[in-house]
Amino acid sequence: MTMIEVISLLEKLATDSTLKSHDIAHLLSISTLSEPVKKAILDKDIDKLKAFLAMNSSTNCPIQIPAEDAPEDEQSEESEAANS
Amino acid sequence: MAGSLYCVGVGMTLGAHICPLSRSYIENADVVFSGVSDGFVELWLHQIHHDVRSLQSFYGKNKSRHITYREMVDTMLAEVKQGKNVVGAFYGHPGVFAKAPHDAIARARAMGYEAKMIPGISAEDCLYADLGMDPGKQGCQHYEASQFMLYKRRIDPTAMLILWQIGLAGDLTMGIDATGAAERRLLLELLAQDYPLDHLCWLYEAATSPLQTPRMEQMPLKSLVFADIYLHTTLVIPPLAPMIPNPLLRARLQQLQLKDKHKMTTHKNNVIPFDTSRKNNHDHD
Repeated sequence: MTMIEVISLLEKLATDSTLKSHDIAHLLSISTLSEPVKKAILDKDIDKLKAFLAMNSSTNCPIQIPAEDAPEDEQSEESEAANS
Repeated sequence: MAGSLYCVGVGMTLGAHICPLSRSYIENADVVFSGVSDGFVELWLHQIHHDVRSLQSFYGKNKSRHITYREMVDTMLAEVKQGKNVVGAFYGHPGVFAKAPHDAIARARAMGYEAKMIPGISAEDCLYADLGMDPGKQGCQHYEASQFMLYKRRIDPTAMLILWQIGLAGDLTMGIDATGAAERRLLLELLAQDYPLDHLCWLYEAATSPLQTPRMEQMPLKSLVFADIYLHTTLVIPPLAPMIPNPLLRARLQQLQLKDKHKMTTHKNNVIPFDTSRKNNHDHD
């Protein structure tokens, strides 16, 4: 429940252009979140927030592009080109 | 043929950057695979769809990302082959500096399935907005940092230079660990061929949550070696000098356009002729 409430709150903060910073305090005051979680949100302390929510604290590994193609990729590109 | 694959971008900041079409594809998918920036965004996706499967588990220590990306593609395609409507939800833009979504779409299409990419707001888009830089002002060059080091490039210091994946600069292992000061020193050596080491650059990281502010840290190039650089950090090098005019080409263009202007004014009228027969026939119907 706490997690759903936090994510909904983050989505609201991210998508409502009329919200000012003092509105965060108001939104938190009417939420059922625990005081430490509220404080972490107010302090914008993402790491503490993750800890309270028992989330993995590490950032995900980004999906990226390799600097070079894998040798097998090059081979398949060559064979595709040969077939076309 | 039943089964489809849509790779959609969810943007950089949780909830704020996704377009209605991408959201609709996620909502209506049979299964959603996620490659997103952090746990908050994963949980947010879970609120949109009940079956969201993270692709993060495919990364591994001492495992080549070539293998990781192939496994990601295989996993998504396995569901497509079962006739499911599959969505790959990727942070930012799914087709910008991201191998797996492009490969997955190409393979799905080659097998005859419907496959499409839906763009998202990328780190590049956020960078221009946050740093107040317009790539059109003096031009802009983008390179993957390791590729920039491994292949010879002709750099134009009068345009902006953006090096992506700077955290992996010089990596030859295709692993997931950031490279260190030694590799960055080599990168700096390369940059020093075109830029003075006190030229100011930016380290940039887009905000992924409304609680964050983007990282916009300005420093001289020489400070890069020991700066805090992560896998998602981008290096932005503003132009060093103004653009160099090309008076010869300007003169030729002026000559050309003067000639065209003369042609236009000597023409019977200045209206570009067009065929009215079709309209007239229609009028007679």
